[in-house]
Amino acid sequence: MMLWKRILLKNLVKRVGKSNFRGKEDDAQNFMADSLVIGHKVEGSPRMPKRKVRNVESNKDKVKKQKTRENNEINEGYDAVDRISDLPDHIVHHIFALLHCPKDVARTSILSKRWKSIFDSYLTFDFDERYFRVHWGRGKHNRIKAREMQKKNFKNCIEKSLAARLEPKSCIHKFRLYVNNLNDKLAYCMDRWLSAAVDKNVKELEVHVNVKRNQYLLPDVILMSEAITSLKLSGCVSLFCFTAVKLCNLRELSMKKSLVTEAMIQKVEHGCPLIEDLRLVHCRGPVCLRISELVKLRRVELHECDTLSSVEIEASNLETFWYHGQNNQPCKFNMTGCQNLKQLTLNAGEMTDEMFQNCISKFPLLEKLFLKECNSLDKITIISGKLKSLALNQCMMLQEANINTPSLFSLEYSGHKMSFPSMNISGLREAKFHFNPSSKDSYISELQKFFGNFDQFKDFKLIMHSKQNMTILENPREVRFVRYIDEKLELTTSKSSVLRSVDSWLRALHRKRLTVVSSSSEFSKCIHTLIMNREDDSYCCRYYSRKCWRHYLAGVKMSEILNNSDKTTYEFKWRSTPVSC
Amino acid sequence: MSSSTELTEKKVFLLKSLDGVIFEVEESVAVQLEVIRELIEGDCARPFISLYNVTSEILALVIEYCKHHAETCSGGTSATIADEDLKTFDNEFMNVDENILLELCSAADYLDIKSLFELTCRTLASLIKDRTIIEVRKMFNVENDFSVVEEKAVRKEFAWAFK
Repeated sequence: MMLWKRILLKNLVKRVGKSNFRGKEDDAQNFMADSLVIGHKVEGSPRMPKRKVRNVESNKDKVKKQKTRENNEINEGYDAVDRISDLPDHIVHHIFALLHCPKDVARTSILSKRWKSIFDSYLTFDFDERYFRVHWGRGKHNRIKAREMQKKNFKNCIEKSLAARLEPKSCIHKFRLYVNNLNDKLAYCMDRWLSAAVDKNVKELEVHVNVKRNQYLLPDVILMSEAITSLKLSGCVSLFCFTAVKLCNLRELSMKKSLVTEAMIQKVEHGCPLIEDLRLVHCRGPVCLRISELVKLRRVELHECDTLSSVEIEASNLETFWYHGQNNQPCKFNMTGCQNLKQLTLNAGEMTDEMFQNCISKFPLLEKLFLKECNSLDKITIISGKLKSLALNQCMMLQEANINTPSLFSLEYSGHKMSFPSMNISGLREAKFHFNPSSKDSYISELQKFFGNFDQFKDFKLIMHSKQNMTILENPREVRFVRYIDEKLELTTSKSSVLRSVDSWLRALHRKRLTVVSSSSEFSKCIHTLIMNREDDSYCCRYYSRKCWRHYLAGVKMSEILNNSDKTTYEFKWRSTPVSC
Repeated sequence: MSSSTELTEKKVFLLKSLDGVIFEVEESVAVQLEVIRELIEGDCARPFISLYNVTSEILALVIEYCKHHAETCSGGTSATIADEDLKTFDNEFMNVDENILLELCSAADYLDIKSLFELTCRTLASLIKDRTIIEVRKMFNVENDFSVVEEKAVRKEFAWAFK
């Protein structure tokens, strides 16, 4: 009895402290006597405590106003009450983070004093020089002047806000800095700003330097920080340092458009043992990426690093590997120690059949395999009991893909022609095909053969669409009656995903014709409702300033042909400006 | 499976809202409220739990949300379909007016339902995004309590954000 009471009390105090409502411990204890209470009982009317009274001394009139409003509120319900300002700071800060744009976040501080104070207590600092652009007149002189002005404004803004917002805090969450045109003076300031952030135990640090020539060297204090968990560098920022790198809590490291050397990677490997996520994007420098000491590594991404020609990774916890090669640069993979890999994405133009087969044989637990523009592949065989998702996109030389994957759930293919001589995909639920056929006649006959041959497609619905037309077949075998087949094909077993496809197809506007071939009235009725009953849904784009297709639709002409399987055709007319609801 | 074992397996909790309405929920739904899960795991959950910070109107919505999520996740359909299904449901679930949305958000925070908290915060963010200050003030009835001089000073401080 005492034990649960204590635990409960602990929980309760935690909750009460976290939420808006202030409670006393002894009050809470009384309530616990008869039942389990979470939170704190509020005296009086159930809706009363929602409003906090602020600025009591400084603004007595306002308190009065608020009180009268509270009384009205009970009678009038929700109308005209500011509830968003009553959200606790940590919720609003979370909303700030979801706004993604620092401009949007800063702008909220002008809403009211309360919002200004919420912004002041926000633990993320985001400074982007691009927002300080000054428009110049013609001539070199004006341009230099404008650039100086931009730099000055930017620096002033950072200095002021660091003094006002960073100084009083004991720790901060995130610091992001984007800089154009680096010079010595600015580099000196950056050192100071970044060191100030590290002093406040910043957890996530992002530095972008957008210049062609100079290199910015990160100050040593950053590379020795124990607090940093995420470090993202982009542009001419270099990890290079004479001392060792020692970021003992770093989980995420991303380098973009930077110079990376093999020695640097080695230093990182020794000094940052907890890295889980490593990304190199458009990096120059490393010829061979060799990693064997990062045991926590779960995700590695290598995108278009043009000098990279060999990848050796040994990490037993690696789950995701993404390689995107550059300009047909051949690259060797040795990933023997990564037997737990679940997701593999390859965009490697020079990868041969043998290399590919050799590579995937190392990953018995693979669940997702995505191949794109692997233009040296000719015949491949994929046998796996675990694979759930497979995509073969634009592998232009691929002649044959033999697939024996009974657990496969989704399949995607785009390329010249169908090339699946043997297929075991009994678990398939959705598929997408996109063809660029050489001749139309052979294409249609091939397709008819394809859908006729595979019994697996029995329960599927087939959607075919191009820019202007869409045809939906409730039974894919009916494809034999269709004279013209559009380039994109989707197969799905679920009715709701058919509706979603129609919805997203219409979203691009100015579509011409939709044809539905169906033997069950229920199926065609669903689509009919989606298209025709649009007036009822007045809420549909409340959250978006851009209106959806329903508001652009001027009219629909419907025609039906009834026989064995009903064929319904909808023709759309559009208007250029949306109707508001 | 016989019906008697099913009965013993399904544990039921009673949740009482601020205004005294009692809701009966199954364990699979109740555990989605992190507050209650902590109690269950600590073995100190009683069948009768009072939630004094949530009104019945909001609690009903919260339970509807948790129920749908519990059913979809355990329904045996594969992950991708379940995901899509939840997305559609979530979108429709967010079709409520701003005040309900705010109450749902603070309820989700208080009851510690991570997915609902994310969802409501995301929706609120999309309401604020790309809107002018005047529009946001109007939508949420935020009263401008700055004096003209003060407002000018704040505008100057954040001049870069208004370009």
